[in-house]
Amino acid sequence: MNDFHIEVSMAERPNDRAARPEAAVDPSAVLALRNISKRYPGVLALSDVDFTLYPGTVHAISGENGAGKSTLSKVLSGIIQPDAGRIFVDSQPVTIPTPTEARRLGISAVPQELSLVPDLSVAENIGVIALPSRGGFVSRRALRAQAEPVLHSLGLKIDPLSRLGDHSPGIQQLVMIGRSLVHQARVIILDEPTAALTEPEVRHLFEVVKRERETGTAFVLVSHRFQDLARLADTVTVLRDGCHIITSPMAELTHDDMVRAMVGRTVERFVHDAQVAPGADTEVKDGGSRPRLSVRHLSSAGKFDNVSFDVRPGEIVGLGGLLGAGRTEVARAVFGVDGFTSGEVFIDGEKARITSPRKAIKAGLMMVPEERKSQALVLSMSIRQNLTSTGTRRISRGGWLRPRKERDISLQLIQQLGIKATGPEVLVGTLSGGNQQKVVIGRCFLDDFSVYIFDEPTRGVDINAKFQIYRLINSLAKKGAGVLLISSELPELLAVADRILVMREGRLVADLPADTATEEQILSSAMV
Amino acid sequence: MTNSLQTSPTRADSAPTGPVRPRPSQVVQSIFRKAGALPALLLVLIVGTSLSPFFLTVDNVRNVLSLASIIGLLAVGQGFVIIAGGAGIDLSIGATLALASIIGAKFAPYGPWAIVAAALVTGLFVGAINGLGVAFARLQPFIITLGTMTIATGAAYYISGSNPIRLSGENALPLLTDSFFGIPTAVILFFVIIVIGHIVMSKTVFGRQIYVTGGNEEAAVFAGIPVARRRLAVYMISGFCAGLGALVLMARLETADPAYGSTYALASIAAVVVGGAPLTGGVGTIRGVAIGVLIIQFISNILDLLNVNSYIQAMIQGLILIAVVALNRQGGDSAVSSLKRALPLVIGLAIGALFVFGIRW
Repeated sequence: MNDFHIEVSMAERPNDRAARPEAAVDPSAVLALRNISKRYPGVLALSDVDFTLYPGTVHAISGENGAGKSTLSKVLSGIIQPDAGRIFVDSQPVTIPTPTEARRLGISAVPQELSLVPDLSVAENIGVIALPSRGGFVSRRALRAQAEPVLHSLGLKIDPLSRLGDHSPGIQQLVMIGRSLVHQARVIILDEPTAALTEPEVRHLFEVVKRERETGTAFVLVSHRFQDLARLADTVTVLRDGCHIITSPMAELTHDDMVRAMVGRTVERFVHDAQVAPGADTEVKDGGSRPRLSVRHLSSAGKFDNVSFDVRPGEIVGLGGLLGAGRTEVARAVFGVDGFTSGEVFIDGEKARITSPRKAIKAGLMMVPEERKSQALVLSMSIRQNLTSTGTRRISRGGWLRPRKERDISLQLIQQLGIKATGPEVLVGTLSGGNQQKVVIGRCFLDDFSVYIFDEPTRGVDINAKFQIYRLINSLAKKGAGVLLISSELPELLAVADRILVMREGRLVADLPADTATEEQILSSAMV
Repeated sequence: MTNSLQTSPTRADSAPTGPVRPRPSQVVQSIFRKAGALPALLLVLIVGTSLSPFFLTVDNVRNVLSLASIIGLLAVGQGFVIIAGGAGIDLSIGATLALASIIGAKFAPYGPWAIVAAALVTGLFVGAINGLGVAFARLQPFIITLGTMTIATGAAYYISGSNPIRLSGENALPLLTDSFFGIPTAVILFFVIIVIGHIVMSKTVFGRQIYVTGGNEEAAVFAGIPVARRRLAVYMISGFCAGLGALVLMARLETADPAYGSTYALASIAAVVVGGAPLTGGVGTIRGVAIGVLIIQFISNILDLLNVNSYIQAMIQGLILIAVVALNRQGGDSAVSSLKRALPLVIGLAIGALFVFGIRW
């Protein structure tokens, strides 16, 4: 199986560069960021980033998942504070401590998760930040008067007093932009604005943006959809691993240039040795060639369509694609969390009727879900109790817990997984992200499962823990299990997986052997 | 697992791990976490002893425990529901007690065991309705149990014709009014239920699954725990406890009354919270619930012994509930900062108190 090395070329590590002198701010720029850095525990989300926005333009920020796009837009909208660097509005240095302050400076954000109130009217949603009122009473007439011109400029012919929730996501998105227009925002940040929209809605949205651009409003478009960029952006800035890679007029960039800018990691590279043919080097328990997991024509309305694949014993199958491509949805359906409309799932060659995670675990499936805090751990319980919560069979007899056995198993897992803690009774909520994730993964070792599904197992985990997790995943495959690994990190897929499946908009679009696949190949099949 | 596995080689470059010596402050914290509400109970006992020479006599303690036993039985059931989380609460527990007593009394002609069976089955049935509503129909626990509370109260009055039913002679429940070695049977029953409840919660797979469900429902689903069935079970346990409470109350008063239990639901919730199980679920123990019951009952006893006006007693009980919850707040911030945040609340309560006593004058 694979072995991992890290090649770190120090010279190319941008965050180790000697402090770069601050670039001058063009007086015509409405907004400029200089040398912005933001560090989260274990990750450098933004490293010394420059960004200059001119009035009357659409400036796109693009990059892979986790490249720092959202962090940058949150810095602009005052939701998070940078650790270093300066922000200029109209060439004047400013700080943006809160969204309210951002609004005062003329910066308004349309977040990906719309912060609208569906049960209020369209007009109230547009005016919610400063409802027109007299003596504390909201005047319906004033609301209507405020909303009507906005709706007109959005090209919407809807009743301003109708309930917002009755309208389509596209209209809701426009209403959110309308909120920015009321406050005469000069900078509007659109975070993945087309994610939930249909094509006509996208077209309408873009028309509105283009019209507003004519009046001098500047837009920041956060998107990883090449289509959106090509149709709307004047300028594009590509981020990768929190670093500024390139800023260029959109017209001068091809699809391939973009992909190259988005991948091509230099900070760290995982190199895997020549791969042993899957299944060859494994102690397979029964039969061998029969797939551990077979998914046939699995469909779920609106989520994914006709997905078929096999995971053979000892094989690690990577599942790549952009956010929202349907990867997690497929995993959740296979594991019985959500239902599916049609299709079949076979485990060790036998048709499995999985209607709940409980049945999935009984059938020999184990899943490490995407969100460790909300889906996997009970933060108020100890490491011991969290390690054993999926495998009470191992630590009980006839319904009675066996405390000594439980303690032994948890001590052994803490050792085996390298969980840093003072002991098994430490509350999981007090551990670091990496150690919490190891607790979740520890459950995979409670029993010999046929199939393991890992959904983003290294998200928010430091580099050292990452490698330990890769090794743990590998050891499960070595024992003969089948592993399905969902990851948004291309180097991770290339390093850990034997085969990489790529999903795009709910369909499997590529099946690439990992030893010949490249990041460019994966990304260009994942992107529309 | 054997010891050989514990020494299984870890990779050379993996970080050093395994048991690290805990810091003294952590030890103190963990002792406090384990002790829960016990220090508060001890404090109450010390204060009671110093205020009244009669407080720590056998008669008084027996009296308090007898009074505590009914509310205690309900609080154990309520504790299961609250610890199982998902905004779990059983408002119907008092009304279930009333309905169980009336239906039990209707079965009196068939002998004492028929009373017992009828009361317990009634409790289980109402609990099952609550559980089905919460676990399968996905209704909010507050709403469904508010509904069953109203229904059970109505049914109790309807069945009884709104008259209390006397139980005497052959129809009485003699077993529950006896005492063994000077300890009333009701008190013994209370302690047995606490012990069983505590063992179920701490030593069985079922109990562990309740904690996981209460701590993080989504994680429980991913862990393969049958969350809906566990929810159903805790509401049935709560109903069963209400049935037991009905039996104890009927035996003591030799009467079944549809007016029973109107204050019991909130009293049992208060006992659970004082005992260290927050309404958010996933935390707390049945032992803690029992301690909560005793704290409330002993405080009320002290106020009785001091001849405090019963309306003032009610106000004091309310203040104590607020104080305990404010001090128990989870979140790991220091006592000083939590006091600081409680200051506006304290001032507000003080203004309210001045107003109440001022008006009275």
